[in-house]
Amino acid sequence: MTLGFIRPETVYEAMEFLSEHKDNSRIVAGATDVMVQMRSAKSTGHAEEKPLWMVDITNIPGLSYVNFENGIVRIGAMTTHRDIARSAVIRDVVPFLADACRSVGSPQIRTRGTIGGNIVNASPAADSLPPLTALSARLRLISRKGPRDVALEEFFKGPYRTIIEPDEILEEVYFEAPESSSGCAFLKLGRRESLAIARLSVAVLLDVDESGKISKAAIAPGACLPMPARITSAEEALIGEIPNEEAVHSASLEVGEEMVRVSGVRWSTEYKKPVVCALTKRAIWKALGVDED
Amino acid sequence: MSSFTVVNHPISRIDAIEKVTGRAEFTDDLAFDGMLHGRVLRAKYPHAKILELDTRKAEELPGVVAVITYADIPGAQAIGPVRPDMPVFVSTRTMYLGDAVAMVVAETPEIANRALALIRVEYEELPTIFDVEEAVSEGALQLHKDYPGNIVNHYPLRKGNVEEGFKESDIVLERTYTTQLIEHAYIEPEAAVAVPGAADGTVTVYGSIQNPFTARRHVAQVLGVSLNRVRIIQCAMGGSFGGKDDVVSAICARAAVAALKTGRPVKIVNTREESIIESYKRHPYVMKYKVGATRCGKLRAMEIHILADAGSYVSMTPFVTWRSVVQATGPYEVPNVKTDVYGVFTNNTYTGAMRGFGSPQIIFAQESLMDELAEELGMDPLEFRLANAFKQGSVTASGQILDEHTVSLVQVIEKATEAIGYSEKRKAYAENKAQKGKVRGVGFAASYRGVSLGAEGVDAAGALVSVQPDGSVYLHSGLAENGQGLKTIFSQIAAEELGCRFEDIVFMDTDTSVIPDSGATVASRSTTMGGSAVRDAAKKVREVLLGVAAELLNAPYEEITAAGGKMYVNEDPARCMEFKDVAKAAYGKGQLMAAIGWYQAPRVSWDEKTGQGKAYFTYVYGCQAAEVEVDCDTGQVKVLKVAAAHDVGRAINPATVEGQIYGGVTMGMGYGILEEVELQDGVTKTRNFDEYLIPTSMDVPEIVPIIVENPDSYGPYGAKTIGEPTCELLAPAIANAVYNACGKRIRRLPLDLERVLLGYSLRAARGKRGSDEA
Amino acid sequence: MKKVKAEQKKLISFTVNGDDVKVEISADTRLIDVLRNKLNLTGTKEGCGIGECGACTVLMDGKPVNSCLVPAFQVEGSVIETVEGLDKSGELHPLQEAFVEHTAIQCGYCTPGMLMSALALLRENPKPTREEIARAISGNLCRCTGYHQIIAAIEDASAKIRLSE
Repeated sequence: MTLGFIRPETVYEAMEFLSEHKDNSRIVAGATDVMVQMRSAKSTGHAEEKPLWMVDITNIPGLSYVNFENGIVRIGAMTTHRDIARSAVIRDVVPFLADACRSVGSPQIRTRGTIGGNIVNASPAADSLPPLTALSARLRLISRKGPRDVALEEFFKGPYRTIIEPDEILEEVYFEAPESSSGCAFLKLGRRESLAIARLSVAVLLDVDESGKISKAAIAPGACLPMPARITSAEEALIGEIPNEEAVHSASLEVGEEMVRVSGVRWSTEYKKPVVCALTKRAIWKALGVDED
Repeated sequence: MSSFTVVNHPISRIDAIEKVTGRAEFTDDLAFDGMLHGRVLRAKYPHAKILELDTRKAEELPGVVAVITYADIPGAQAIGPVRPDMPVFVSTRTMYLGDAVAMVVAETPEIANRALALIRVEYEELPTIFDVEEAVSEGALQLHKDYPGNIVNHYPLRKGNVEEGFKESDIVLERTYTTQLIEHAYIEPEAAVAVPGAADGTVTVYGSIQNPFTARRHVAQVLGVSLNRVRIIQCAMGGSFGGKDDVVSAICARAAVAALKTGRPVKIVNTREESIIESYKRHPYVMKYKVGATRCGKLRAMEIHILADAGSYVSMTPFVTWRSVVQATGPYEVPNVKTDVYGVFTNNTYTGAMRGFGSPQIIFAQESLMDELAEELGMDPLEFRLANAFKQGSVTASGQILDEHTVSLVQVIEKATEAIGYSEKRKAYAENKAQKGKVRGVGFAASYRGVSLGAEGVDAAGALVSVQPDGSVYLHSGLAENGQGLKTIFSQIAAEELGCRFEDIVFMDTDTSVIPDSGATVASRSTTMGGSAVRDAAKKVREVLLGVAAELLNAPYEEITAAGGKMYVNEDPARCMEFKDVAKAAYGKGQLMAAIGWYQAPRVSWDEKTGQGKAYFTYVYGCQAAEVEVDCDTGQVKVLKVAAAHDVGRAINPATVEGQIYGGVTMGMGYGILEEVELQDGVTKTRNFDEYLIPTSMDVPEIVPIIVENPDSYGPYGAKTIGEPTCELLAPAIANAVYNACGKRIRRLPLDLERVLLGYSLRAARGKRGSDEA
Repeated sequence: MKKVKAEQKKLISFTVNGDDVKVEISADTRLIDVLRNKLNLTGTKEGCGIGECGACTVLMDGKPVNSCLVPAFQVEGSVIETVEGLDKSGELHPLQEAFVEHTAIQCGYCTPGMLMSALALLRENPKPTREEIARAISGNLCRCTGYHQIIAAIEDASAKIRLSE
């Protein structure tokens, strides 16, 4: 049950309403997560959840965009997965983010679901998060107190939990465009080819210098950590190396080790550990331009 | 080119236009003046005593018209297709999580929803059993008092002497295979609307009902009225696959009780979550096979022990497991057989009819076993099967001699394996022993399948053909459209037999007040049984019309042909009349132009003690071969290509036969690699399509449908069956292909990521989350 | 500047299949409820209620959406197309014709949503490959057909539409 809805036309109006109804408001954009969560209680006839105000931000203009200026890519929080997957800038500058957004849900979900929603919902299996993490993306949050910028990796507190305040709105996510010499890859393993939640995923961003050595590396796995993170030990295993099987192998092992360090040994570890290593290895080679398939 | 005018042609479906325009009426599309909405409160625990049920607060909520419980039922408290053991509303004890405790009937579904939260139920949890082996172990808790040892039923089959057979064998293998609980996953959830009649105590129920006559019987029993007081009208069905039988009967009965109590129409529509929690599923089987063969590859003996998880109620378990006992050895000559199949009660979601009906499980076991045995013998799996395959005159495990139809097993096996390139590819892929990266494999599985109900029960069906004075035709059938294309097939048969045009026929939705009880639309029996009844009815009417035409064309009756909307003299086709003009003339002469057709299945027999007899009057043969790619690093199996060869006797409509093959293969693939309803201590964990995964358009492989036609002496125009055989073969074909690809033999379904990589699953089908080998 | 107010109920205006409509909705109303219950456009079906089956697919401003996941308050001012709009002229749309000809239907419950996803595809990609077609309908589950005849029908319809233009 909801208390009602409001469709503010400016960010200011939205912030004002949110600050007045901190405890019982819910921001709605593409609604693909909100509508499912609203339903869960109703569908089997058991207890109802706390009633909320729906604060619909889709009437606020100017929150859906992809800009590329001065080496910075900025994506408005209301930009849909569909638009990101089709954006010429994204496909050209960070194709692995386009791949990730293209792997979300289904065409219908990608039409509606937004990158802001994907970030704020904070699912450990969210498809857009590994590439954004590998890019060291930052977020701009706004509220009546003014804007604040946070690193994506600092935004999350745990699965489905973030540091966003009830009266804050995510305005945009931005990151520095990687060097044109860099390579990237996003691989997702699901149980099926569409409408699939990631069983595991991994994003890799690499750069190789003139001498052929890996000069920069960012590796961010998905669906195996409570919240998005780069695996620096894996990255270090690659930096300074001329791409070789051994270095790639040890980098991939680091990802598996780190997963166990952070998440602990769980019922799924036996499967996820070897598989996240295998996926990482493939993603590294793919980012290096070597497609193993 | 076909010698037929209408049948054997890929005619467009008769219900296509209404379905592509969105005008087809599904149950939830119906609305009646004053209609109320029912929402069901379900059990909180799979096995619990109900100490107190207090509905007063819910009743007081404005907009709530009634809260229905067991106390409101005027007639039988429980229903069931075999035994009446499933309560429409539970009174004292819940047996599984889907049990209905009470139902709120309100002005809107939202009010009904709110009222559910106001019903107070006090439970006392009872001890539970979720594992079949535990259920049959000594000293196990007894779930139902009339079923000692929790055994629903036991079917033995004895042929020859297995001890001798094993002695004669050079190789004896023992293997255990296990299959999972799966969901029909029709896209339309269950729904029914009951409308009270003008006459006292009568009711009409519209619904997504697979078997209108079963629903009628159950509704009448629950209301405590005679059958003719209940009228069932089947709406367009959004899929069923065996699934909208007893569960929908219960929903119809709840709606009918509520409609009579309130005097207003009552609609019940399950949410997807409710559908998965409440509806019965396909039985999980634990199958122990012991097989013996000589060194030169001849099967000598098979000993089979099967436990089928029936869940909480009897439902169709006795019939499902009976098909298993008949077909458990597969389509192979085995001189010595000892089979025991048991249905077993647990507190899991109950299991019942689902496309395949006791065959997909045993085919997974027996076709995996054939490959394993061939490997032990150092033989090619294809040669090994061909050496033992049923041929004309072979004797089945139940002692039936296969000589009344064409035994086409070898033909379908050869066609399917050739189409996939089995022999060459198998050798080439087997040499690739890399356990890394993506590797390919091929495999196949073959089956024979009894057509229709067999010795399960009464097997007869009716149809009504009524020609109107303008030559248009009404066709009524006791068997019902489930989405498979029955209306189209039956209309083709009627048009062929009458000699009218296909487009002259209007197929009427099945209405129990019009047509005789024809049993259920199950067991792939529609074309054979119902089709024969349609043909019988049409033939009777045609004879009347031919008589009239003979008179008007001044030619002997037997020299006139009726085809394609015309009646003409064979020798001189120019002497002809339009079908509609003949109808007009016949009407003018006061002739009866309607007839009921009836078809009773040929005699079959079964000895319950020995499992010997003529189980089915005819059989179909099928083979599916698959090529897969296995990712050795992730356990992911991709099915690349499937060739499916099925002997259908005669394809009444090749396009709908192909549709059945595409759909059945895809469902079989889901069974093989994706699907599983996860229960954790009886609690349904997979509740919607985000967790219960069926194949999407991007998962389906290339499929090569191969229609084989060996006309049968019993079916209409030689037609047999296609619905179920398409869905029973792919899982073992995939398992065999995975073995060929990477050398891993997986004896449990599904072949999901974890099971292929690790050899066991981390998804818990039963009990707690964790390894299923623990 | 006028201040936007929070509301519980509202009369919203939008167009459906070319007609302007006004419907009273509440905060809990979904687009599918508006279509089926208020406008009697029952061609759009509900299969799961969580956007996983696609049976409720309609076009919103030309793009495919799951109408079970669209809050009705967001529909204000938008252009909605449903299966009922396809043959509004009285003639079947080429996609509908192709579905009929290719027996791309069994139970028919997924068909309306499937058609709408196909329509959205052909509008922006008049000559799709089979793979593109499969991707376009990958949010529409079908349990009966195995998709093959559906994909063939969409391919055929695309050719016929190109020919007629």
